[in-house]
Amino acid sequence: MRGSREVSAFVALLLIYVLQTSIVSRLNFPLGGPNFIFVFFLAWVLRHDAMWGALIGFVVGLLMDFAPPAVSTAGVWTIVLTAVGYGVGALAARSQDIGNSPVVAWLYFAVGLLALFIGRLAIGSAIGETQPIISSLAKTLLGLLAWNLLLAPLGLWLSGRLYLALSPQAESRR
Amino acid sequence: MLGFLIVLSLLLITLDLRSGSALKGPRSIASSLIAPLQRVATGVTSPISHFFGEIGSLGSNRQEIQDLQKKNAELRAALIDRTNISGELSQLRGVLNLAGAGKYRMVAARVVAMGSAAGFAQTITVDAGSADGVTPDMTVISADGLVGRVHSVGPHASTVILISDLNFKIGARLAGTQALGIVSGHGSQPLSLEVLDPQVDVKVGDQLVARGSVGGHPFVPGVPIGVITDVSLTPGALTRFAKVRPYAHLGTLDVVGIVVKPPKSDPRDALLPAAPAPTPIPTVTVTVTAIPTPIPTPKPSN
Repeated sequence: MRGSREVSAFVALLLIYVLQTSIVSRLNFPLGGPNFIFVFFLAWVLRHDAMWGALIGFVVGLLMDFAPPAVSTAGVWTIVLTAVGYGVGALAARSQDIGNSPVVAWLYFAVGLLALFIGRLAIGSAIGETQPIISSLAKTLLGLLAWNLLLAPLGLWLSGRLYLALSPQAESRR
Repeated sequence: MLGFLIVLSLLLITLDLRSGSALKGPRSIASSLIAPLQRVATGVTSPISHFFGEIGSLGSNRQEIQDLQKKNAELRAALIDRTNISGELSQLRGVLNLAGAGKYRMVAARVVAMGSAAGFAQTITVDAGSADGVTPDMTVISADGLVGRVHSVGPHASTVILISDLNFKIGARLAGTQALGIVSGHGSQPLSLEVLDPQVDVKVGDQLVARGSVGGHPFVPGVPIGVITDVSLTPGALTRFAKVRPYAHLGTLDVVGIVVKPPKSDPRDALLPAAPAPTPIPTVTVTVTAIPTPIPTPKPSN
């Protein structure tokens, strides 16, 4: 049951990836716009524990590293999302009732976004990627936090609905 | 488990850094799977998003007869479709004109996806791949100028790095001179030009063209890059820096051309857009003519 739920979530994520790259990214939002891949990833990981978080992060990272229009060194997003998935999953596992604590979930979401950003920069620097200038970095960080934290409640709600729809017995656990 | 996944990720990074070709297979497979979905999503949603964009301007006349409303919406959708197509045609015509003028042999392609995660890379996916003769390191142009270069190629889709990407660098030449420089991308910031010879006179409005690479890969010569908008003057510096506005409108790309065969001769500056004509400033000339004032002659007193 769990396997089929994760496969369904991956199919949903694949569709989100296609919509993100084909439509959302082309709409020229100010500050870069929302990233529904991150929103769904973090919201989904918050429903899992550390191990599953790492595994989900690994799979999403592979998608982001290999699927077009990705050009970054393969493995960079994989390692970042694996680590972030593990961390966010661990945080979620410590809070027993995260499904009923939207503020806590939202805060964990913010921590996850920050970790994504810093982790990506750190790994990029480590392998010698050209780093953006400070003003560009600040703009990217502002856009990443503002748009995605705004969409976080929607992402959390939708992922919760999907989680429950795919595994009714999980309702008692979360 | 975590350790295993991290080690796998590190292995991927090492493989890609040491030999980029080792992961060509997985990239090609991912491209084959994802690019058709992106093409369908773009094809389906492009007219619809235009339609929804336009629907707001339909006004408040919602109480009309239902038939008329339906017909009106249909006509409007058809019109938007047509506007959409004519916009793409216009871009395609521009690309063909540029390629024709430079004697480049090119393959036209539609942009099916854009952007990468969190603004760390500036890329697009186009719907032409190895089946159309596209290979990595080919120049990509739009009607206005240089767009980028092909990074990776799938059977029916390719990923293109845009000139605004942080890792993008191209050898450039100042139009009309032999002065060479390097243009680099800075993400959402303007491009920068590093002029190798500090003695060269660089000024705002100067135009840049691609210097071209050996064999035309990754860059064919003569493609317009952009125009200088700001020059930094640092006394004693070994090189000079300037900000560059690209000619290509990277945010609104629909149709691009991939140069599959470079020209036999360098087109030099022939592809540059005409420099803006100076606006004549009217000169007002005021001529002051002195008019002699008659001096009243005193009346003779008796």
